[in-house]
Amino acid sequence: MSIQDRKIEDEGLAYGVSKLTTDKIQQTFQALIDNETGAKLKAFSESCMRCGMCAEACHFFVSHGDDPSYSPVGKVSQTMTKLLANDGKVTPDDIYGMAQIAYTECNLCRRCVHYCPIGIDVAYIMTTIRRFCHKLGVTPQYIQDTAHSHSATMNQMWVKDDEWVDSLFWQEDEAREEFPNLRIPMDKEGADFYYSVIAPEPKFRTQLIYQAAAIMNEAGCDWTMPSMPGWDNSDMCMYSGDFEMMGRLKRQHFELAQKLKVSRIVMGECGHAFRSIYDNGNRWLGWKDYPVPVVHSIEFFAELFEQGRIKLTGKIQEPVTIHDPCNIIRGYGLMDKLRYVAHQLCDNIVEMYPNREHNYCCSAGGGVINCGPPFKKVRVEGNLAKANQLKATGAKICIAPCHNCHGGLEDVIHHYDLGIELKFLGDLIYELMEKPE
Amino acid sequence: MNKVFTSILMVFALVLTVPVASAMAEGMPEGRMDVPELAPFKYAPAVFDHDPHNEKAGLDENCEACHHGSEDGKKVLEYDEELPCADCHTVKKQKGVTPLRRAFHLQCITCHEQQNKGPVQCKACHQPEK
Amino acid sequence: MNSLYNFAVGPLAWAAFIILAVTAVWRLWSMYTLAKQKDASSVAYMSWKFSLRSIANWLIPYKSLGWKTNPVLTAVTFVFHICFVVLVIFVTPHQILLENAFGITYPTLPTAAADALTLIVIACCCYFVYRRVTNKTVRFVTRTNDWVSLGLVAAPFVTAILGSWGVGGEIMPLLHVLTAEALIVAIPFTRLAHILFALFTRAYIGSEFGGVRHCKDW
Repeated sequence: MSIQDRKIEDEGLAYGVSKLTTDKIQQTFQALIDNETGAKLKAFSESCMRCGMCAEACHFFVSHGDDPSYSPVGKVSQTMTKLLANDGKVTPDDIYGMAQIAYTECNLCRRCVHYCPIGIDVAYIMTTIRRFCHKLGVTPQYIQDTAHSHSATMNQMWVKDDEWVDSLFWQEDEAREEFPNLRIPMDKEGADFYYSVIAPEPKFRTQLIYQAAAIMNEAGCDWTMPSMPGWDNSDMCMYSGDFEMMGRLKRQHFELAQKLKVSRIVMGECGHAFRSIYDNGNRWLGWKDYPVPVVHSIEFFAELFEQGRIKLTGKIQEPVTIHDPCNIIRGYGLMDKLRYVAHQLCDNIVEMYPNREHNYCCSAGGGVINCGPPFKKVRVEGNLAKANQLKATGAKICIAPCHNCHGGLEDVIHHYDLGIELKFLGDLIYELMEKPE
Repeated sequence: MNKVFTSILMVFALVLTVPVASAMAEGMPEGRMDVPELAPFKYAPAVFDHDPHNEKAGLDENCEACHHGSEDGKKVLEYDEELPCADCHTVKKQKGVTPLRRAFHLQCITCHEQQNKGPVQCKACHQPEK
Repeated sequence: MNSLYNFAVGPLAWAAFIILAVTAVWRLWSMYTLAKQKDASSVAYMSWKFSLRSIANWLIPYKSLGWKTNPVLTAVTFVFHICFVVLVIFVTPHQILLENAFGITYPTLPTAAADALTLIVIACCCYFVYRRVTNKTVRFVTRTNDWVSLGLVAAPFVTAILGSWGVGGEIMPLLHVLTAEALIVAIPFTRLAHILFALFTRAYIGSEFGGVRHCKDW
């Protein structure tokens, strides 16, 4: 099987491809190679021995009956290898397939790095293919919509400025019934930190803002949430290949911290947003380090527990398993902190295997879930590996401290009928912490 | 890049296609070098019979072509009958002296190369003993 | 025959080594320059500590996830590379050539051991061929240049063992020298370029995983 046998209809891809000519493709590819790629791509392309060891790393490969066209090297072979061999002279129809592979059949999770003796970064190669497709205007419709939203509103979900502020007021208002003194301090200059979230929180997971406010409030944090654009730390432009926009988003996120004179930024339980600040966005902007310190929620919660600032009424007794999101575990090494926090909250943790930096991806990350319904089936069926992993634990609850993982795992749990409940760390902390009578 | 490589490969291919005739050392006698100092041997001692070799090579009057003498440790082309090779050319490496094995190898191979006669490959001299 | 052989072990060998040295240096240098110019945001994270950590851990058989998942290939890969290097350096004729040319001496392998290692290398190459044909993924991604590289590597060993067995008389050692020279020259221009680049790609990804991602890459 190859990508030619499994093309999926998508408005965005079809429209983009309809405007292409082979000449334009070749010119764009040569410009990409001349201006944007360098020794990394060259060394990776020339040194790959095509041993196929990476195949077993990929959940798409193992879940689709060991189909070689889903293996990491198989995906590279159908995209970058083909482009390089033909000097970019491929047909618009080829580009359709390449875009489908790069956007919807690779989560950029980097699990295959653990399998490659040469050390080839397939995620980088796939990201480069996405960049190429973006420059050609061939992007899946749904993810392009989020990228458009980023450009127009500086957030991912077309949340208008007043709607954002309204959502915060609304959550503050609701929460004050339970916590009478609770505030969501807005634009408080010089606070210890500002809390940034992804736009899907105000859009359809608003209770997460409620919970975060409750935790901050009970822990006595000196915090704030911004009213101005930049509050959304998410970054679908990073995944669509619109790096110019990715740079703008990251700059805005940090400049907001500087405007508010906070000493650091705490980011909500999201993986890709974190990736965009420590890996992709910062590099695009030429920053080795951040202008303002950033911590992920996992680190922040660990800090609260270490300082004894959260009092719990009890712990979860049911078996609980932990899903390690790629972007914060294989991406940032927070596996021990995640376990520390999880063990504070649960008595009976059952690890799934492989775990930690070897964990299988949720198959939603890397912008794949953001490519929308047309590609859902491939993604969910492409994660039988995860379903088997989850099932083997016998756990009733799965902790997944990442929005994309939640989306992906929800689909997996539903599709394979696993009957497991998904939780953010924030969900559990809120559930278990001491609250006023 | 591929073009550079292809052209280099072509050169090698051309060299390979030069018709090569296998000319085994013809009619050399059975005698072999007898240099016990170099034991143990990884390969059988080289095939060499002094008189027939020199007759064939036309070296009857030209002993110093191989048997050089020495003065102050320097090679001079004066035959010294009394001096066995191994007296100066020690088996072990020493400063300023060509060790025995290398001396033999260079002596034979260099001449064979220059004359373009006689074997130069390992096994052509070091023929396995039957 | 003699003149051809002399040409092969003399000027042609010099040419092969000089071509290798010049092109290898040129390839590494241009890659380094390109990296500094175009991949500065990756070069910035290069670290000796994490580079060496990654290289060391990947040199241990069955340590990485990749090695563990592919047990047979791992064994064959390690045996192949070790035998390859040992043979190139420690077979007696190679040492004698070095001794004659430069006076370099060191202990060498007994003939029987050299023959055995050569057969092992050939067996490893046969496994690579077998896997390239039978493994679905490998077959899916195999291109002509993968076969060319494998052929280039196998040829000197096949000619070496045939020569050792006395097959083909004086032709075989000549073919051995010529195929080995073809291999030497091919290194920078084929998949064999991994000999030049693999340490650096490994060092880079090791630095990324150590310095940016704070986790191991094996």
